[in-house]
Amino acid sequence: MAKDILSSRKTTVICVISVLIFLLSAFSYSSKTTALEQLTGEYRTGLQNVETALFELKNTVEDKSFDVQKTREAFLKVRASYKQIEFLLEYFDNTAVKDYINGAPLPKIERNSGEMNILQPHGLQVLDEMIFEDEPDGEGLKKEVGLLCKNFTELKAFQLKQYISERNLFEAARLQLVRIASMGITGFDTPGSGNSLVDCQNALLPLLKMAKIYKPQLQGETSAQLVTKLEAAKQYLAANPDFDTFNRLVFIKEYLNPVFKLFKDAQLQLGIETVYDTPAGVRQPYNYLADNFFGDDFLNPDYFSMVKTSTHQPKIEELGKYLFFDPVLSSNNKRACASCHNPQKAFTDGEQRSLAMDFKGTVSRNSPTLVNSVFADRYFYDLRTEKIENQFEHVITSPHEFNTSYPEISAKLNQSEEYKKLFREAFHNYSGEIAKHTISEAIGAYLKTLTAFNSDFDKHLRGEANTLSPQALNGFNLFMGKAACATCHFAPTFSGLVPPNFTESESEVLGVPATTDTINPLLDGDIGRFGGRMKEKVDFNRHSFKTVTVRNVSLTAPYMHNGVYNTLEEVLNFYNKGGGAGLGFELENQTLAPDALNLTPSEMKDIITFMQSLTDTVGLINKPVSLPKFPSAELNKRKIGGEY
Amino acid sequence: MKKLYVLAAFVAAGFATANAQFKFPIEATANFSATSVVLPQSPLKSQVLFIGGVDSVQTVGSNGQPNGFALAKEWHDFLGFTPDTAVGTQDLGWLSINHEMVWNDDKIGDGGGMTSFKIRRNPNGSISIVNQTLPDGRTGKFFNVDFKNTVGETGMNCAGISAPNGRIWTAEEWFRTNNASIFAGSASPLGGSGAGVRDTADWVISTTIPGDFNGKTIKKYQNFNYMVEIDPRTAKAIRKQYNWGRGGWEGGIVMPDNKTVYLGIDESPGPWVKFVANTAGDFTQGNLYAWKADGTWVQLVNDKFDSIANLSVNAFAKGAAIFNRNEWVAYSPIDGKVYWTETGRDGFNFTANVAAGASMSPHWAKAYKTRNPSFTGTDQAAIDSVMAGKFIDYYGRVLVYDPATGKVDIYLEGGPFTPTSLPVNGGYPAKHLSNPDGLGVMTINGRQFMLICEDLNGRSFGRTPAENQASGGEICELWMLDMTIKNPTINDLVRIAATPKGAEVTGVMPSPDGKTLFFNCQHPAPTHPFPFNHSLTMAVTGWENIVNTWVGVEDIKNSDVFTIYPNPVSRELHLNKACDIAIYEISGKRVKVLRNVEVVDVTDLAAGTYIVMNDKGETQKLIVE
Repeated sequence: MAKDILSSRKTTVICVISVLIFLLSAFSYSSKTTALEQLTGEYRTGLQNVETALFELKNTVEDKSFDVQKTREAFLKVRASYKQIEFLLEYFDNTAVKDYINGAPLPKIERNSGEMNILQPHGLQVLDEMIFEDEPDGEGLKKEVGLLCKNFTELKAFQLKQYISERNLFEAARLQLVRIASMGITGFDTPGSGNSLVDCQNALLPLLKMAKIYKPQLQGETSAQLVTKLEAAKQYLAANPDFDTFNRLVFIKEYLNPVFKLFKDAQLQLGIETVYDTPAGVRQPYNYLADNFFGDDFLNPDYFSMVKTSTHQPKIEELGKYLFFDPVLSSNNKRACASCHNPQKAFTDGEQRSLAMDFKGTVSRNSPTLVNSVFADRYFYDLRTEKIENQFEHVITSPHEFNTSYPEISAKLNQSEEYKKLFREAFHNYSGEIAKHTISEAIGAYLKTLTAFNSDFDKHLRGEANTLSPQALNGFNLFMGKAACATCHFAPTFSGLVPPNFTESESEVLGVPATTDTINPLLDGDIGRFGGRMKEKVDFNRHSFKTVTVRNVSLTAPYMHNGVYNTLEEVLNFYNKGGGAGLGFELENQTLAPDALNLTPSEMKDIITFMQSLTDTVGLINKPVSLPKFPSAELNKRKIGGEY
Repeated sequence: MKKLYVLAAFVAAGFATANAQFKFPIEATANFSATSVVLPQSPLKSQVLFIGGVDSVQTVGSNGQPNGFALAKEWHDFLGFTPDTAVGTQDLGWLSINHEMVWNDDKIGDGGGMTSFKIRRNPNGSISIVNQTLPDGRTGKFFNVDFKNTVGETGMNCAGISAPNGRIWTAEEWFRTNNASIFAGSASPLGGSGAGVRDTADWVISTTIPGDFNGKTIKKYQNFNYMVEIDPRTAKAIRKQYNWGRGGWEGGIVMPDNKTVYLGIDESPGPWVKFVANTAGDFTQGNLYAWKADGTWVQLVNDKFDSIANLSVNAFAKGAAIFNRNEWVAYSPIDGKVYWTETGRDGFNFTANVAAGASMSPHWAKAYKTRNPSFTGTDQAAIDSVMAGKFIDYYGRVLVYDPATGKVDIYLEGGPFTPTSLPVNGGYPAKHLSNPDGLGVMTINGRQFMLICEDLNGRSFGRTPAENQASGGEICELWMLDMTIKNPTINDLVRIAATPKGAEVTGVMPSPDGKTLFFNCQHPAPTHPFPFNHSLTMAVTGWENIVNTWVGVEDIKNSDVFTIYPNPVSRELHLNKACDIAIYEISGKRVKVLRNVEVVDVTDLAAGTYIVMNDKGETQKLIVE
């Protein structure tokens, strides 16, 4: 008997699956079921569809007469089905997606392990590269597909039990729109197939279904427009299938962003609670109620900073600004934060590498901009610290920079009655002594104010102004598409802060040269992330550097971690050749694609024009007119912003 | 065909139960019920004792430098308690705090480290730090434990041993394999951050432990990864325990005989190890063993450096049983058994280790079968599946060893357990335990409780609620389990604390009288106001007042009448049955909507009167004190 069951298991499973699908689809559009039931059913059906497509791919790659074309077709079917559940799967378990399903095709260090273990990447992105190679490795594919089948089946089993609320659906849908705008249309997860625009259509399908299901419950403009706009977005993708010429600016401005707002309007109109009604509410990296993901209110600085906005905030910020420009923080009273972070240069210093203490050479790296620097989860080019407050703690204690310590700074500041008054007024729990945490919090609060998302580009995208030249608009499309800049400099920060969750800052291995000599190029010796954190000292982090923002790039020359390039033309040339690989470096762990981008001179010029439209330091550049007084006349001669 | 039919019916029935979602109005004007439930102020009071990176520690001068002070290191982990037994003392004793980091510091010393300080209980039950002057002349409240001038630097001080008589060992996990792996590189244009242990010159062992250790020259990295005894009273390290072996040490316990030590190694695979001293209290001489799957202990050579240099490899070659990241160890004086956490790991394959001589611990059969209830194979088949990597150990567990029988068993299997049927309208299980790490046993008013700290290996597969998935950062919880419960499950857990997002709760250590619980909150995320954005040592006092509040809820649970009742200990609101609820201010303004919950964390509700509405529109008044 047992044997019988075993032998018939396969057919039974198939029968069960088809009954399941039948039942689920039968329920989908029945008027008796609620929107939530229908959409829950859609998700479960979608999970099953991915599994079915995956096992079809498995059969294809395992077929004795391995057929590349059939394999590619089967793989694209997997992608199509995956994209239709991506919004919810990413929402409910983005860790598992990253670990097993659609993570970047790069090795990682095992999380939270007592030993240093390197995990090789697996999943759709790895397959995307493998399958679209000229001659795919059949044996390797079998293994990789088999593993994905196993992993997906396990995740599916867990996800089928996932309880879904209407709030979850709306949040997942809105995050998916950010994902499409910042990753989908850039080709981020289709390194081999280049199938991203088709993927985006599939990613919009479940959102469209959701919009249709909710339409009867909605009123007014929201009801009229949600489905229409989504349909139009999908049609726009279908009508413009060429990756290189696809107009991303129009797509985001005219379709994705309006839909992003409409989904929010719909949610509120329906009385569905938002994340702010839950215990997790205030901890979001973004403002969920924002209308526009290029809005200056979209990202939430409070999430990233150690400093919470409080009623005392203006006082704390004002105090932090004094400290930022006050050289009393350094051991020789001559250097301030502003020494290397000049507001006129978007808080950089124009030097290749910043000048060191006592003019003894330079520090190791180029001074990065502080504008929007709060939007990161790691600091320094080697990503060694987690908070901006730790970043300047390293500056304070470094012998090459402030060459001092918090106890020394506290002792000095406590001599100043004026500083004591400022601290007392700023901190309601002031203990009578100026201490590390209040100094740190004040500087952190000031840095948190250095945010700016009102550049010409932002205003154009939000429809507030129409000042961008056709060259800049073309530059944006290239940046987000053919030139592949935005697959590392992610919108809307155009830095390595990964959307749509904005919880992780990335670093990349580019192969930056030591000098501009292209005849005898020499790899820059800086080991980058390999020399940062002890627990990240693995070979693939050698020469890896934080992806900094390209916002305000007009003001922040020279460029790269070592300031090797004085002009953006040089930077573009470097990338156009494929980075270090293009210069002839044999850098096994280069994460920048080594292929030439084949950008024409005019395309490179357009990209630069676009980047130059990202300038905004309005309201951020004024220095204090005086600094708090000390009893020492000598100290009172100190210069605002430091002597050098 | 019958089977199919049943399954199909099941699917349909499942859908019928998926209710329309109740819409809670943003402003409510209903006639609210007059039934009031009071959430009293918790009898527990929490207090911050020691803030990493902010409080100063007194340091020992070296290289001709005088004693000094520096801001304490962070990343608090293990917490040891040493009672003050002096006649007539007003003081409770000393606390020893591990710093689980590898950093460079001229005054404190490179690598990780420890801080010790003395505490007193005030008449109102609160704790204060006692000023001390140590024999080496240091005066102050917090003292850096000197490793640099004694036994050599330590790294990643994670857990350790807090013996009943107050002797303290610190453990160095994160197994190092070369000098490059203890130093990031000098701060220079080449880009090193200077982090780690800068002095990588060869180390000459100086020890009284018998064997070939004393006078032996070893590579610097080989002087890491030991259990290291310290004296918190003088804030000095005493000895690296070379005779216990070199490994990714985590926790341990000294048994009441003062001879036997059980030890956890945080490796995957990792062995279960014990040391037995020849003479009570003298841990420099004795034998070292690893546990085998057949319940016996195999002796390991422990007087030769080459043999102890990589303990696990030798243990497995001799047939030691495989565990998956053993962490903290605790002892129950009531049943005489040893408990420890096996934290789990997302992926592994032990086939090669078994081929090299290791055995699979028998508890893997139970672990596999608990996760795969439909599996009908033999225990051996289940164990083989685990060995071959067909079991992803997302959640980990608490294990128990009975010295009387030599048997290892699962005490509490971790995880959220969602029903196996499909589909369900289940919600995120209120009770869940993932990747247990810190462990302690606390006796309150004669009743014994287990304290379990999470240290999540990730968020996937329900280790944290969906709300926390996208916004990053794990929320680790501190759970309590009444050890009088027979065959406990995660449903018996009571939540004591949730640390700030991104933090790990660890270092649980009750005072011997059960009135105070000390614990550490490690590396919290930057999104919390001072001091909760730093590593903290906390004291929670008032435990003697609370145990009775947990009993007698079974009747409410069995009732169908909408009922809310508070757990003042954890500031949680419990519902008689899982349902959707909204909480309104008395003005009618909606402040919270929670779907499918049985327990609601209301720590963020200010004192005042609220209305709780369920998904039938029924209300209860809640008074938060």
